[in-house]
Amino acid sequence: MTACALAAAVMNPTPVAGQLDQPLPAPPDRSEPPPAPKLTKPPAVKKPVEPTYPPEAFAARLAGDVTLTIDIDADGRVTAVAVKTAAGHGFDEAAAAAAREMEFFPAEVDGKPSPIRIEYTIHFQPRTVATDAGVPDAGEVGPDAGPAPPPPPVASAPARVVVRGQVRERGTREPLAGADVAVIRRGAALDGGDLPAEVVGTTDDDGRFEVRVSAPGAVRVVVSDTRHDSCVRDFSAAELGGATPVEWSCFTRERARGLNETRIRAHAEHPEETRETLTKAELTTVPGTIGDPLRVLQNMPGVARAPFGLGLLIVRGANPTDTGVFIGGEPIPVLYHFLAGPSVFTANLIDKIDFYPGGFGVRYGRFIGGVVDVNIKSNVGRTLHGAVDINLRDSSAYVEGPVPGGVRTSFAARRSYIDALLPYFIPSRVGSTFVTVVPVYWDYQARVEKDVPGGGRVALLAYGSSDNLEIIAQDPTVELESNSHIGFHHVMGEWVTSLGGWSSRLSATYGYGDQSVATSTLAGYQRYHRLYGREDFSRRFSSALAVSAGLDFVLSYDWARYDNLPFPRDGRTIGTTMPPQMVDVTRSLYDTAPAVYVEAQWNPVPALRLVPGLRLDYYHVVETDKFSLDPRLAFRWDLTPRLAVKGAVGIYHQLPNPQFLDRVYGNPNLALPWADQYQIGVERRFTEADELTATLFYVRRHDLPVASPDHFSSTGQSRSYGLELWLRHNVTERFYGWIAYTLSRSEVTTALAEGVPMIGGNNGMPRNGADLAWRPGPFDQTHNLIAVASYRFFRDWEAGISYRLVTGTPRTPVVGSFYDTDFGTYTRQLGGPGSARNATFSQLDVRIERRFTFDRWVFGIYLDIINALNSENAEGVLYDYRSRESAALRGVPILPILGLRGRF
Amino acid sequence: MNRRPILLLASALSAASACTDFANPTTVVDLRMLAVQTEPSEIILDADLSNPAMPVVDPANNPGVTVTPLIVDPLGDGRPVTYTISACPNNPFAAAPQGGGQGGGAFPSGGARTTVGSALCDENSPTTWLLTEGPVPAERGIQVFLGIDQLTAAFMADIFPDQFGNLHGGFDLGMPLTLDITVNAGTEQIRGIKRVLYWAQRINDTQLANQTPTIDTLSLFYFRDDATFEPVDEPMPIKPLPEAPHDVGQGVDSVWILPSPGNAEPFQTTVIDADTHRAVPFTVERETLRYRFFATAGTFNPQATSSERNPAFDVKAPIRIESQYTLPTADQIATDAYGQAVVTIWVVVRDDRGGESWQTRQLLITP
Repeated sequence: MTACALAAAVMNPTPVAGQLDQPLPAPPDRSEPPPAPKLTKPPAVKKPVEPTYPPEAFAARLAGDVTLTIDIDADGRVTAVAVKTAAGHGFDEAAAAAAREMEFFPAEVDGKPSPIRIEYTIHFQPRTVATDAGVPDAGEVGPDAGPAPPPPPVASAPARVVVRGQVRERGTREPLAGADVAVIRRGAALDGGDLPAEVVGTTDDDGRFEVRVSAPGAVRVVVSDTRHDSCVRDFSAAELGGATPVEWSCFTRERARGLNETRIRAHAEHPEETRETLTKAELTTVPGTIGDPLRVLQNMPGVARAPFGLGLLIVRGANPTDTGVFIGGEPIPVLYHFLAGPSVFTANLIDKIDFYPGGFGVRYGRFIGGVVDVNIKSNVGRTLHGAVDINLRDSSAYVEGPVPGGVRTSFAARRSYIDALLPYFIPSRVGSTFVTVVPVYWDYQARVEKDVPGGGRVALLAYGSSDNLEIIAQDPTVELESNSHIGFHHVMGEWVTSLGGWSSRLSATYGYGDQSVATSTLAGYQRYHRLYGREDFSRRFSSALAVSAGLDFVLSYDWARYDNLPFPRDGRTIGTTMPPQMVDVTRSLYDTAPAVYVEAQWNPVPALRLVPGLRLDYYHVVETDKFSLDPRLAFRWDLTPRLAVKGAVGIYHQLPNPQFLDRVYGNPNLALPWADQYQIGVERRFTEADELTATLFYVRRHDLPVASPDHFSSTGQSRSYGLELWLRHNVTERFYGWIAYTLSRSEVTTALAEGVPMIGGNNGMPRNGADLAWRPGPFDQTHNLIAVASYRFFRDWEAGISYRLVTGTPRTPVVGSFYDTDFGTYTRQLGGPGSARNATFSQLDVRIERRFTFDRWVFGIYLDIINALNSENAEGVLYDYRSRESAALRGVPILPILGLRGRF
Repeated sequence: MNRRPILLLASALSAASACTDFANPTTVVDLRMLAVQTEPSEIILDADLSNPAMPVVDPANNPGVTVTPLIVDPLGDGRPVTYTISACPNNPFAAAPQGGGQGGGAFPSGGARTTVGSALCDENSPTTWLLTEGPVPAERGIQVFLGIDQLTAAFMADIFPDQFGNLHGGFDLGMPLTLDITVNAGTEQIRGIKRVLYWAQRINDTQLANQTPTIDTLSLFYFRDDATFEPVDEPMPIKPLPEAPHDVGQGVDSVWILPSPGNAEPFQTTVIDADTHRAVPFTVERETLRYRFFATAGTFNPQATSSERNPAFDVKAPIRIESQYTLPTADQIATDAYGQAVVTIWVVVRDDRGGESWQTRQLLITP
């Protein structure tokens, strides 16, 4: 949701008598008056600052124009701001505060930098917004009510259209909507100079505008907004004297990001006070992520480092399966491709990603860790655009555009080809026992969208992914038959509209997934069918109260079949497994899980927002019924406009994995794992771009399934606590970056399972429930420091670094071994569980990109170097056959990825 | 280590393995216990199981067990090597042996309830008994004797419930008593375990105690057909000690060592029935014989062979029990004035019920 404050750069660059102030040099003492100073170059915005929309005004859907007089010194700094034309409702203060932070390229008078006073008008206009994933605020126009009509001309009553123009962004061809169109009548002043600039209108959604003048003469037309260079063109009187208007098409360069759009994050206008949002620029240019937005999440505070660069989201010490990733409000089953591959969803369709390390609202259920909500871009496909990315690992393509009937479409696809390249690099050696595992993956996304009468929209999104693992043996004489596959396909329909005073988003998703593994002797298949549904309602009753409610459900059918499975027998032999029984196993499981939730956003006083919520879940699985009630509360207290305290507390439940609940091989009577989460933090904004967030958190997880004589029992526990610090410079014209530091502890324990005798000694590892002490969890990383920085220089170059320093993960040390003669192997003797740690992890990633911007397309070459210093980070320890010698298991070495990408 | 980045992106596993330079387990360079023979390896007690948790054992059915370890100390220069033996019950909750079976319930559920545990005896446990009165010279075997009370205590300790509340353990699945063998040589000490399988009661009338597998002959050949895996040249028997070492010949890099196939006998055991949850007799049509190869210098590949194929993996090659011995190079072994050296090799055979034996030979090599 954006509170849109359109900062319209309306400048009065001509120093007219009466408007200039002190800074001009005193005239020399001469008998003849010196010539009047002449403005040779108007000031230009160097550092735009978007004002904060006053909350009350926004809530009341108020608009307003504030005209300021701004004094700018010869260095371009703002020295004084005064309100010339007030609008009230807090607009004046907000406009003045923003203006004070702005920086300009100084004006030049007579060719020299000079102080100047300008008039500057800021238009406050509440744009169409949404609270969550497309749900509009109550009472507001839906996000896609259709294109806005062209603005009417200003009442200076131009009589004739002399110029028709269109302004688009260079490279992407995106129209500049809402840019101010100003006209300077050249030589029309009494002294023969130029008249002050006069705003005659703004560009429409297609970037089009018209200029009308009532009297002939030369004009200069300036079209500008805060994010792009100005389009400026002089038109002579002769040009404008023709019978038809002059057509003018201007492509202007974006100041901020090149290949990608930038969406400025909204501050504190969202009920999810625990949320952190990343913009598109941050999502696709962080070094080491190869343009993958979902990998950027691993650089956020509270997210532990995943081993071997794998695509795991380890949030506040929780198991990766405890964190949900939602696309369009529905969970996605697989997030990353195999073996540290990219995410399964294209960046081109991602608008922004909201990340909740904890304390998420009742709209999200069935997860006890964190939540990642991927917001899909809506309203795309109005014009034809496309993008291609080719690198050493895979290639992807994207296209969006309109089709007849008012339908907007977008399509994307990706395919890897490392399986084709790798054989050229794998040494071939007869007798070698090494094998290489090679991922083969592809994914696709397709979306169609259409506005419907009444101010809503409908959309259909289909996406899917496939991963296969092929095994290549170095010995060409060895035939290996092994194939594993995982894939899914989802189709989601959504309808966003307003019903009475309520905003509504209804969605339904059908999902199908399959997983298989096959060798020459056995095969295993798993499939699922899922039907998700969700309805979100929201309404704002007053500036102090809004209510959201909804229901969601999932109907799930899981099926597994294993052919010719060497199923171990329940017996004893000494030496090896008893001859297994080759069985065909088929299992299936139905699961129904509806939920209802309600949440309020209440401002008892303007500076304090409370968000209480309640969620009720019901599960019917394996002929058992389970319920959960999750109360949650989040709050935000703005102590000052730049200092806020925020926090959350809540209960969270989830369902165990289906295999744990199986009637034969699992335990259907398992309890629902649940967590209680607590967090409190401070957010300090130093400037519009710089802020510091500090958060203390404490999470306890209960009733986690662990192996036991009952197959599984709900006796596992874990807890995490710590401090997260995030110092962030948001995306500005040239630079963005952040430093994230997490100091935390993640621990696990297992309560003694009933019936399991306590077995002492340190020989081997007790298998079932005999370990009562709290010990470091597998993802415990005491210190986790991440520094990310990206700088754009020379306009078309962008370079960035990402550095990570992390405490080594816990491991259980091997303190000795003994020979088991019956099996002919050495059994390791282990020290205390988790009592040792791997070495500290350190890695530097570097990224550099050169862009070539043309009028209608942009082309970029990038080099992303993972582990640029080739640090030998140990992911674990390898031992020899009797655990006397050891060597570090090294992680990913230096990995350069060269790529090309283009966008039109 | 292969540092090509594309390769390592896709093959973390193989690259990790390639990065180590660990000692080869088939090369014996220091004090090691390679095998332990127990005779008998399987004992049927025919006990009174009126109370399954407390079998009453007839002393007449409780024989002593002759324990003979294979302990080698190539660098010991003849120093005295001795060993002691303790015994303790099987721990069904201990770690599973590396590469050993998990027993029932390993897939897809967790919790292995019937696995034979791999653990040393806890010296402080009341159910750990010292069976040797003092250190025994390594070259000697010794007969050990477990008392009735000790046997009963071992059965009582080896009991666990399944998820349906039924008790199982040594009394119905067989009780693998653990022998903990501690070897001392100078200041050096190593430990190992060996099991003797006890049956409280006969499974059925056809059950016979285990016969120790044997290797009657060890042969050597030079070339093997890559297509058929058959020896190209005729295998030559390697004569046992005290015969002279077998001269491999000059200019030879590797040879194949072929043990004679053993007699893989059928045997009776019990498994837990998935429907009744009770232990029922189960016949293994043919036991698996596994061979392990060791040498004082050079390496064997593979280090272990088997008389049966793992049904989970269908390697196209036929089942073969020989292993290829790669001779040490001149810089890896001290040679005499003739440029020759003597290498000792051992081949150990095991079955599924604790039966174990070995053969020792010497080769004369010219690296």
